[in-house]
Amino acid sequence: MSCCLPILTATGLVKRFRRGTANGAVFLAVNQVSLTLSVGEFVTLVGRSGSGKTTLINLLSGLLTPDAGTVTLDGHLLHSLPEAEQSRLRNSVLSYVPQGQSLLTNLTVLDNVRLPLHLCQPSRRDTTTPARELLDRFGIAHLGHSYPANLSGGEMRRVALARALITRPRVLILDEPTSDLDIENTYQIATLFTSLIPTTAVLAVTHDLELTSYATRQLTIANGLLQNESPTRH
Amino acid sequence: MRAADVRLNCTRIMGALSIPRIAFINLLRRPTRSVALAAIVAVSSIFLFSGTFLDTTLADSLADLSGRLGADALIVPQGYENSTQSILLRGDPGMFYMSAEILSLIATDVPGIARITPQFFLSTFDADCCDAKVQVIGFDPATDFLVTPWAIKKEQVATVTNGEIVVGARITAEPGETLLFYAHRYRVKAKLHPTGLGLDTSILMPMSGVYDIIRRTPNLLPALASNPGGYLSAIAIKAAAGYSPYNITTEILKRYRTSYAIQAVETARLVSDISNHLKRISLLSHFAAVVFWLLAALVLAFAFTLTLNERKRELSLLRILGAPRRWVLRLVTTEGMVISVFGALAGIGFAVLVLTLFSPLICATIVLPNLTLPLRAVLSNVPVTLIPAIASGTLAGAWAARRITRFDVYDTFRVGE
Repeated sequence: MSCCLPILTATGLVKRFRRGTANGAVFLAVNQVSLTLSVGEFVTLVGRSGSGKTTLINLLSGLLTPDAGTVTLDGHLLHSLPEAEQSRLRNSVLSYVPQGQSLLTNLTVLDNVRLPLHLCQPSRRDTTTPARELLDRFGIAHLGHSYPANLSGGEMRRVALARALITRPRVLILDEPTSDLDIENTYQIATLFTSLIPTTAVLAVTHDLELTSYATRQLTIANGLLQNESPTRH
Repeated sequence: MRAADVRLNCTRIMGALSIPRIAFINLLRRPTRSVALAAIVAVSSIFLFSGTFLDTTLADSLADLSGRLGADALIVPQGYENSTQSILLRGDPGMFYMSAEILSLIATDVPGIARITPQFFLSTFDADCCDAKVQVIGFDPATDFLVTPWAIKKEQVATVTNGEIVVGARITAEPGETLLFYAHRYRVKAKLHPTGLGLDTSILMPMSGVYDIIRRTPNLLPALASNPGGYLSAIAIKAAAGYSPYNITTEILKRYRTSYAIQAVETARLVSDISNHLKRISLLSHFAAVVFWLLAALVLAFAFTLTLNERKRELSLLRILGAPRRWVLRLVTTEGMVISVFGALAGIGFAVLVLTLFSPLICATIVLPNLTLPLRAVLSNVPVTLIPAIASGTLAGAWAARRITRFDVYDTFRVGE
């Protein structure tokens, strides 16, 4: 049982940005943030716009290099690894779903979902079956040969989630995963996250109180600083 | 089997989402962008291929030009040296003449001549073989050494008689057919192999045939109409072993230049002049090809950067999904290579088409012998064009991709939003 083992640990993360020109003022987007994420957790990260939520999850995913601090993913110091090794971890251990439309517009829905498998397992032959199973699980199997341009916002969001799960990641990081979804679909997604808990650590940035209510833990960030944890239903 | 099942099976058969496959999908899904980039490569390929092809083909054709002309020297009326060159090399119609007395004088008095033969140049007003004026060349089958070697059947040329003609390779008539010109129908007795010279577009007949035309057509050359046999246009000379064409022509000019108003054209010097001319054209075409190639490489790099700027989000998404930077570089480089291959092949095809259709015009413009497009020359020049064209497209793609992927994924992803 892998429940409750720390899979992702951040220590003293700092990220500064400069506003406007090179001489513009520097501001701290993330300021000395430390956190631990364990398999078996569904954690929501809330905060006002510009509070540093997206910057923090990009640091945790290795998509952004911190000015100070470390991120340990599955026992590896993420930002000390060579770029190719970071990519391998991002593909096989961690899945990240960015905010908004994040599908590759030239590929069909089916190809979008199975692509991560080809990136981490180039020699794998049948990637269609697991991709179709995931699409079926999200109720969009009939869209397999459609292109993203022909999908609604909610359908695109579900395809992106299916793609994030195809590699069976142990860490799933999502930026506003329910922003395009109605209450019914939000419920389905929340139920899905709950079902993933035994094998996966889920961290979701959200403004959605409905989704937050399903979390096992809620983090709040303000002005780049992580606040005290808030209680949740669970 | 339902259509959806067929599609599913196809997906399984097509298998892995490999870099080449994704590259092709990306190119096919953005046809306008792909065609625009390929067009840039195509334009540079047209210049590269045309430059190198003209250079090598003309160099090849000049290498044995002297031998193909057959004569070491030509004696022509003063002031008609350039016209002679045009008639011999490109078949440009022309008419000029001088006294035929000079032929026997040179043959008997000047030492070192192995063979000597006269020719008479006459241009048609029209002929039913051709859309434009045609050069008619009168020759003496008994002494000829310029025409006979090119005949498909040499004995047919040797026995050609008045009323019969020999046609060059590019005249659309075959032995046994008849052609009408100067209100007279002539039977085609023989046809020549392609020479790359003016002979290809010329009609040849015995001197007596030319004289008959002049007699029957008083308006053609009124001064000659009463005694056309007393005139000819050029005398071709082959030097005997041990004699130099220069010494022979010097001797001829010393004796007869003033009294007969003649000039000598040494074919070796003619070739040398053309070679010098060609060197200038070659230098120019090389320069233009290199300049266009460099410009195309720069434009391609710029165009790739622009298109990749539009694709920042797409490329960042690939990296978010776990594609290493090198994978993204290979994808974009493959796209550049595919575009380059198609662009270069399209450019070469277009260049071959233009060279084929307009080679006579090109030759006339640059005052060079007839240009032929042998398959060997075309094929040998394809790699010379393909390699730099593909290299420029591939490197431009790689360079642009390196620029785009050197930043943090998040930075590029946000810029692309």
